[in-house]
Amino acid sequence: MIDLGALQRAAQEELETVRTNEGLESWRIKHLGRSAALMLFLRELAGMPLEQRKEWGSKGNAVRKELQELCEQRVHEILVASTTQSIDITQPGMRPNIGSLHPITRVKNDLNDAFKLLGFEVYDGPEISSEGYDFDALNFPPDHPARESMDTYWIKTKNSQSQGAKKLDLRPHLTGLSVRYMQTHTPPFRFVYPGRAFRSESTDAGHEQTFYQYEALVVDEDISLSGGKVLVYTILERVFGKQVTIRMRPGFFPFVEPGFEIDMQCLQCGGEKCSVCGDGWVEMMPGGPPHPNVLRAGGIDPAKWQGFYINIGLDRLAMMKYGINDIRLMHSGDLRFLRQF
Amino acid sequence: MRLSLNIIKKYIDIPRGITPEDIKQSLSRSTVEVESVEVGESDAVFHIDNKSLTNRPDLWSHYGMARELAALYGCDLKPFSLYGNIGDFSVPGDLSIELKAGDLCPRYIGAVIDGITVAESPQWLREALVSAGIAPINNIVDITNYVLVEVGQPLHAFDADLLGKPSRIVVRKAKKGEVVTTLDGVSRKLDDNVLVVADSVKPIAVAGIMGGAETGVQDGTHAIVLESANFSAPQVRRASQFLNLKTESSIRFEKALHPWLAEIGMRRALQLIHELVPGARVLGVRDEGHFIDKERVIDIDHRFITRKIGQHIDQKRIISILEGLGFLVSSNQDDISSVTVPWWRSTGDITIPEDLIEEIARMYGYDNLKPQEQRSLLRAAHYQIEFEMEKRLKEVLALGCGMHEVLNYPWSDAAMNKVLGTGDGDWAMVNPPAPEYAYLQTTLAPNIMKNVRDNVRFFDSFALFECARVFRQGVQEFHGKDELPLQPKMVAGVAVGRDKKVFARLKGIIEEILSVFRCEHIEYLPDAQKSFLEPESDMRIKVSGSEIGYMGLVDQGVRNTLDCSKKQVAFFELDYVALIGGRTFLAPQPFSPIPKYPPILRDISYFVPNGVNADSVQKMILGAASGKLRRHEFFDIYVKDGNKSMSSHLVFQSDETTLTDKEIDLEVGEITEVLQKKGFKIR
Repeated sequence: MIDLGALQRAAQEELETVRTNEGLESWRIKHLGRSAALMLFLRELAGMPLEQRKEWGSKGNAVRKELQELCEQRVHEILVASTTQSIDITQPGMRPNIGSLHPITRVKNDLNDAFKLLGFEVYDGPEISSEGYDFDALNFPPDHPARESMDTYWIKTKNSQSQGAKKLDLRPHLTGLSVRYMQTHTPPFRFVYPGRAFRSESTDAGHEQTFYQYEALVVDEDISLSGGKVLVYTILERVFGKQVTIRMRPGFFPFVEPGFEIDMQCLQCGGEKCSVCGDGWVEMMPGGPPHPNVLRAGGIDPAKWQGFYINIGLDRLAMMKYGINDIRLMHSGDLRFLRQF
Repeated sequence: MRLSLNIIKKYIDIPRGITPEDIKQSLSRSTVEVESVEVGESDAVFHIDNKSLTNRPDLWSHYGMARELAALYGCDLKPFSLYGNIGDFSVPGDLSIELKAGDLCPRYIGAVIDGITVAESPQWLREALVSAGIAPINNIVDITNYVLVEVGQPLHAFDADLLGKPSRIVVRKAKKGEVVTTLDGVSRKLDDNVLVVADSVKPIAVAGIMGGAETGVQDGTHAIVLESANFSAPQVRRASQFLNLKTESSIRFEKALHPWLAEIGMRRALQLIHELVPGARVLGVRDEGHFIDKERVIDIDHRFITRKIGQHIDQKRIISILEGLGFLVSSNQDDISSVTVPWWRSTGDITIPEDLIEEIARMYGYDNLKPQEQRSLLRAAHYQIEFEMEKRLKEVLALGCGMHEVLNYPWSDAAMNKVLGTGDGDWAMVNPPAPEYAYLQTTLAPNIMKNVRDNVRFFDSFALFECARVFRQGVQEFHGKDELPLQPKMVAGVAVGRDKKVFARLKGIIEEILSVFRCEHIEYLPDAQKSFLEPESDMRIKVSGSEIGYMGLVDQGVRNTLDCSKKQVAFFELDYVALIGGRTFLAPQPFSPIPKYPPILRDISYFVPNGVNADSVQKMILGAASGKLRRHEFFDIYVKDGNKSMSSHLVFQSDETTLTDKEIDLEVGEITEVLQKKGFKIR
C-alpha cells in the first residue's frame, strides 16, 4: 500500500519553496493533477474490496483535502506577497520583439510621403530593361563616351549583336523608366519612381554595384529651373527634418539640358569641412529639365511642354541621415546593422 | 585632368585677392567639377573630374579654362603667339598627304622641319608639363605635349628620315592583320575598326591615339614631320575601345574637336619650335582635307529664356554673359533674336536653344535663382494599391511580426544554388560582378539563406524578410516598346529558432499577411516540390484557387551548410502580384458588432485516428455545429504513445439570448457524436 504520510510530507515540503503562480500550477498538476500518485491511487481504489475502499478512501481523501486547502492558502499568500512587494522602477522593463525596416525603405517612405503631399504619383517598372530605353531614348548619341560612364551590366541574349530595344541590360539608372511613363501618359503629370539600379564597378565604402535611387519628373507647361528648386528644398528638408543649405552647379548628363548637381551643406560639420564631406558640401542629387530629345522620345512636344527631373541617391541620403559610414552595409544582411533601424 | 595655375596665368590676369580655393569654387559652381586643388610653392594644380568635361571639348586645355575664368571674373583673355599662316607655305616641302578615309579624317596638316637638335627643354616648359601631369622627354616631344595641354590639340612628330623619301603620309583604315608597335612598346594587331596613319608600306601611327615606336623622335633625329590633324570622334572612340587604349590624345578627339583647332595647334607648335629649337627650319606645310565650316546660329528670344529659367534676367546681362563666352548675340533694344556659336563650342556641345539656357543660367549662377512655387492643376488622385500594400506589408512584417528587412543583390551565388537545388538561373550577365554571380536570381531563397548563415553566429533566433524582383524565363509586359523578361516581385521570409515551433511562427505570419491582403479561400496543400525543404513540412499556398507561394522547414542537409545543424529554419516565398490578385482597391475589413449576450466556453479533448489532420477535424466540428458555435480553436495537440490527442475550445454565443447549459450540452453532444462516429475517442 501507499505511504500517504510520506506523500503528504513531500508535497508539503515542496509547496514551501513555491513562490509564483506558475510554480504553484506545476505543483498542483504534480500532486493533485490527473496523473498525480495520490489521484491514481484513489482511482485504483474503485476496484478494491469495500473494506479497503472505506479505510483508504477516507484517508486518501483527507490528504487530498488537506493539500487542496494548503494550495488555496498558498494562492492567497502569493497574492499578498505580490501586492506588498515594492516595484523596483529602475529594473528594465520587458521590451516587445519588434523587427526593423531597412534604412533605405525608411528614407524611401519619407520621400514618398513628401511627394504625395505635392500630388505626385508613384511609378515602378522593369529592372531588366533595354539599351533602347536606358540610352537611345535618353539622348546618348551612338558611340558617345557618356555611354561608358554608366558601366552597365548587359544581359546575355541569343543574339549578342542585338541593339536598342533588343539589347537587354540591368538598368544602370532609373531615367529610362521616365520615358516608359511619358509614352503611356498625357501631360501635365508629376510622378516619382523609386528603385534600385546596377553598375559594374568595384565596391568600396562609397560605391556599390547595386544601389537605390529615387527619381522624380514633372512635366508641365512652364515648370522652370526656379520651380525645380522648390522640389529640391522639399525633399531635403523632409528627409533631414530641418532647413538645409544647398548649392547648384553644372553637371553633364545627356538626358537633361541644362544639367546640374545639387550639393547640400554638410550636416555633420555645418559646412566647416570634415572627414565626411571634405570641403563642407555633400553631393546629393543631379537634376535638370529633360532634354528636348528625351521629351520627343516620350512622345511629348518640347515646344509646348517642359519639365524638371531630380534624382536622389537613397543610399547616400540614408548614410547622411543616420551617419552610416560604409555603403556596403546596406547589402550586408547583417542583423547587427539592421536591427538599429 | 590636371590644370596648372601658372599656365592659366599666361592668358589672364586673375583679379587680386582671388585664391586658388576661390577659383576651385567658381569653376565648380559655374563650369566643371574641381575635385581638389594642390597648392605648391611655385604653382597650384587643380584636379578636374573628367566625367564633368564629357560635353566640353573646349575645356580640355588651359586656354579653354582661361577663357572660362575670364568670363567668370570679367577680365581679358590674352592671345598667344602663333607662327606664320598655314597658307604662306607655298613650298610644300618634301611631303605628300593622301586622305583615304573620307569623313573619318576631315583635316590633316603636316609640316616638314629640319635643322632639329633634340635636347632637354627649358625649365619653364618642363615644370609646366609636370604640373599638367605629363613627364618631360625632350624638346620636340615636350612641345607637342605642351600644345596639347595648352590649346587642346593633340600633335605627333615623326622622324622624317625614317619615313623614306619623299615622305608620304596616308590616312586609311587598317587592314586586318596589320600590326603596329606603338610608343608604349606594345605590338598591336589591327583591323578595320582602327584608322591608321601610314607611310607607303605600313602603319606608322594609330590615328588620334598613339604614334608608332619605329618612326618616333629619337636622340639623333634632325628632321621631323609634324602632324596636326583632325579625326572623327566616334572613330577614335571605336578604335580606343577596340585597342583598349586611352591616351591624352584619344580622350580629346573623342569629345569632337573642331578642324580649325588643328591649324591653331600647328601654328602654335611651329612658334614654340622657332623659339626653343635654334636652327630649326620649316621646309614646308601641307594642309589637306575637307570640312564644312558653317557658322552655327541658334534662334532664341528673351521670353523663351525667362520661361525656361523661371525668372527674368536683364537683357544686357544675358548679352554680356554670352559674349564673355565668345558667342555673338544679334539683338535690338527690345529683344534678342539669335546667337552665333563660337567654333570651339560648335562640334556638338551647343546645338539647341536649351544649351544656351545652360550657359546663361550657370554664369548667372544657379544659386542666384530664387525658388518659385508653380501654379498647379488639381488632378484626380490615383489610388495605387501596389505601392500602398507594399508599404503596409513591410510594416506588418517588420513592426508587427518582429522580422528584419534585408536588401540583397539581384544575382545569386552559384554555390548556394547548388546547395538548395534551385538551379543556375535563367538570365546571365555578359559581364557579371564575379564568376560565381553569373546569373540573376530566380528565387529570393539563396540570398536569404546566405543571410541566415551570416547571422547565426551572432543570434540565437531571428526572422528576416525581403521584397524584391526575381528573373525568370518568359516575357512580362511593361510600359514600353521592348520585349522584356519575366521579373515578378516576390516576398520571402525566414525564421530561425531552436525547435520546430519556427514553422508555426512563420505560418502564423503568412496567415497575418493573407489577412492583411484580405485573401479568401485559403488552402495549404502538401508537397511544394522544393528539394531544400524537409519532406512533409513543405506546402503550397493557394488563394482563391491559384497558387501564390510555398513554405516549409529547411532540410537538415541544407541546415548543416548554413551552420544551423542544431537549429530549425522555416522559409516562405510568396508572389507579391498574386497576393494583390488583380484588385485595384482593397476592401475594408467589415466591423462586427460587439455581442450583447455572453459567450459560453466549453473544452473537449479527444484522440484522433492516424492520418487525420487539424483541417479535417476543424471541418467536422464546424459541420456538426449550429450557428451558435461562434469560434473553434485548437489549444493542445500532442502525440503520446502513438496516439494523437487534440483539445478544442468551443465558444458558443447567440445574438438573441443568453444560452443555457442545457442548450450548450446539446450542441456539444452533437459535435462529440459526429467525432465518435468517425472513430475519435472522447476523453
